[in-house]
Amino acid sequence: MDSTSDLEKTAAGDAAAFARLVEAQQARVFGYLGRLGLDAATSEDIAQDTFLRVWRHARSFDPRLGAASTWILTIARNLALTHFARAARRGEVADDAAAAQAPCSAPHPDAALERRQQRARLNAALDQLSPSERSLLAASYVEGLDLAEIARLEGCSKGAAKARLHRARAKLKQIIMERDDA
Amino acid sequence: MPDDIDRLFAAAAHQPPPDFAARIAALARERPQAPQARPLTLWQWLSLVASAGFGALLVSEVALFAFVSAAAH
Repeated sequence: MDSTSDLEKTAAGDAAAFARLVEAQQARVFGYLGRLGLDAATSEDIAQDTFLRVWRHARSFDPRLGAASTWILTIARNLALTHFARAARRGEVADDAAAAQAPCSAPHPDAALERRQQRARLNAALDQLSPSERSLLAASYVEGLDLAEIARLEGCSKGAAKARLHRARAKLKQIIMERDDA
Repeated sequence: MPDDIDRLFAAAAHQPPPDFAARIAALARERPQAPQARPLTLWQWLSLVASAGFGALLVSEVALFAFVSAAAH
């Protein structure tokens, strides 16, 4: 699912290629942002900012340094981590319990409610991890992103990414178990 | 078999709104792209090296003056 040629055309000002690029990459970006524990509105804001930056800075993309999809995710990651840092400075905490109990107008309310509760459960546990641990875990669930690309995204070696990912998974599992027992 | 964490992460992904790509493409058309960063020209490199050289000379002069002044006392 690489969009390098569309990104190169975007760099030349081709708006149609940019639209194709957004169409091809949006699911990955939204999936990654959701798995970071961001709510839908914040994810949409960050995704919008990500793609507008891609448009603005398309000429600075260097295909020798990695795939277009990884470059786009790196922009999304940096914006999300900036969001977490700002939220931490303001002392914001996500109201996951309220989100889990919000009324639902979806066609299958039981499934939607269960999904929201699962998301709230995960977000409460993710809140206890560092932003880079959250990013590693979220990246590991992005379709088609191998360990080398995860390492590039996180700015570390493959070995370090593997070890950090293993530790983050174990830590998250432990937090979820403790929360379930409590 | 996927474990509990896998199921939680599967449920956590958001889906883009149906009109997202079209909206972003429309927004992008209204915005200019940043020009490509150009490498420094020869005279820019020369003036950078000259400035760094003069800066280092000034720092050395101050250090030498301070040393001589301290030795004189």
